[in-house]
Amino acid sequence: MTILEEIRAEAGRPLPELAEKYHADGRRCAALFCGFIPPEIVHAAGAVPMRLRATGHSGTDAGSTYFAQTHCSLVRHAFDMAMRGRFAGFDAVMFSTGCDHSRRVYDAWRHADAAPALRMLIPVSSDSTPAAVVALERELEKMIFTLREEWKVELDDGAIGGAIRQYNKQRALLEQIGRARIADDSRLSGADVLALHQVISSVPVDQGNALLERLLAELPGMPARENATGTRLFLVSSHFEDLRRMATIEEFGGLVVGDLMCTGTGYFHGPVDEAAPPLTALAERALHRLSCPHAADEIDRRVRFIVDSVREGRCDAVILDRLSFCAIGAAEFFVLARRLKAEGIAVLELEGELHGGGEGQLRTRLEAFREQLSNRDSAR
Amino acid sequence: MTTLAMGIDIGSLTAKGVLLANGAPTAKFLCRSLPSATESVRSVASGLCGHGRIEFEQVHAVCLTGYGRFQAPFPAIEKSEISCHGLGAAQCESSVRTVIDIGGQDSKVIALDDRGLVQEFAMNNKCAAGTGRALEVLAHALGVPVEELGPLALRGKAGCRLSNRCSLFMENDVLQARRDGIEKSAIARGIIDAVVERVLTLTAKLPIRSGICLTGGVAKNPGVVAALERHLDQPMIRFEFDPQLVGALGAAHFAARSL
Repeated sequence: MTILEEIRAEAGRPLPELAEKYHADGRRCAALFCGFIPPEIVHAAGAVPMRLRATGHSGTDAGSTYFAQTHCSLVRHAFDMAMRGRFAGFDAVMFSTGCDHSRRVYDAWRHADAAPALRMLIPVSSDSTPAAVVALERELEKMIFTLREEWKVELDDGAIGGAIRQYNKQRALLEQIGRARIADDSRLSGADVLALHQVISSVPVDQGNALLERLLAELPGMPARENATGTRLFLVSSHFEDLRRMATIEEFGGLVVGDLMCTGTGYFHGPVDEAAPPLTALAERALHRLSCPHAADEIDRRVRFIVDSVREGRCDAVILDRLSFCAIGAAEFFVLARRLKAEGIAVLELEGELHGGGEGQLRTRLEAFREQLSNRDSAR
Repeated sequence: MTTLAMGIDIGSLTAKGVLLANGAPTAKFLCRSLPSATESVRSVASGLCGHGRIEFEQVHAVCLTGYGRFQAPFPAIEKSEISCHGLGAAQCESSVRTVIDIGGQDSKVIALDDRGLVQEFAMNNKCAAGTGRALEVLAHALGVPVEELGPLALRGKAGCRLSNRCSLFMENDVLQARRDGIEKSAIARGIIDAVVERVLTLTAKLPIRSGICLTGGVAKNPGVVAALERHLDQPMIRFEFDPQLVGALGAAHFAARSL
């Protein structure tokens, strides 16, 4: 089995199964619903932070008892898992107010008294002003206090500083992966990188770093990825976890050589300032992270990042792909589509469910978009 | 020697085909889509060949489009139905710059360049409210065959407003309107207006340019054509060629270009 096959296999494992494994090893684990929650604090408290995803879970019947079909399918899937006891093996589940749907899933989880018993909400401001940073720092202090009380652990600045250094190392390693990804003879597809992101956001950071170092060492000896269509794409999304959808995008659209999404490059983008007080630095990074449209005042930076990445990655176009009923995604993409087109960048807007559905329409859109790009090139 | 190029369009409700002989349509075929796309393709190919009048092996190139395009039982090129409707419409009338295609389960607005090639497009998502299927369901709720919905709507007075956000809500609105005693023709007009308004939400992403035509089976509905002209305040280009076969015609031209 190659390292990429190992990564794919690991990414296909449901999170509850991984949680059981950590418990058997005597480790706590916490599910993080949103990218605003710093994994450094959870790691420093001795637990494994696992970015919540619904891999391997199908159906939302139980989740839909509290949520309508007009709520995003991430919320419905996550709550369905909760109602079926799939988070019973976790020691905590943590939410933020990154969007109204995630705030509501916290309310519903508490109301239903679904496991685990420790459920935490970390409110974040919808902008990234100095006042918002101070407010988030206070919330992180409360989070630390709760973890100390509940888990009876030492959780001081030294431990958090150590975790920050480990996660910064991970971010630096991922930056190297990102550079390898845009090469003309890239060894990595977008689906490979998505699977990699899923794995390292659900294993202890030292294991993730070891995996990344191994992958970087093996990359030069790997065969180049075939780009069936010859088209190079940059993908912008929010919570994107469907490896099959990514494979369809790459088969019918083009090779995804870069992304900005909260379950991808955006989650890992940019280091935490190691010289600043830890909580201030964590709050600063969380709010200035590029991936989340929640911070509406950061849109200029996100546009600039996408435009620069498209040019550096020699991308032919940008795909904006959001979950149906993701309200902040819809608002963000409305602006992004216009700003990117004004920069002369072709844009395809897609929307879909967390897993599967609408495969025929997706293929048609991708194929027609590729034909549109080809028509544009032939007219020049 | 006569060059034969075949275009086959396998949609969700109907399967269509056009055969070109030296670039001009020589045979057309339309049937209900079969459960298997491969069988639909075979059926259309056989129909275009006049059920044995010419041998399929005599056809020089085939292009498949529509949802069944990936299940070719023989060598063929593939093109999206968006490109095929675009090129097909431009072959019918070279001044076409905007194609509105209302199919059985989806609707599209397509901007064309002066070669009949796609510049940009917008397509509905999962919602069926702006599709041919919605017209079928709502005609059934009204108690008329879908073929009669358009002529009935042309006689209807304006003013019957239906929700256009969801086919299920629209169906409830139709039943309520019937209970309220509103004339069937006015309800028919309300149905068509609601479906057309839903389709035109796509133009928020893609501005309409003059030289507009409607393709797909719904183009045979005179009520929909009239409603589009009313809403867009522009005349629609009407083809002599069967608008339901425009996608297959475009596919046939792509097949011919591949030679």
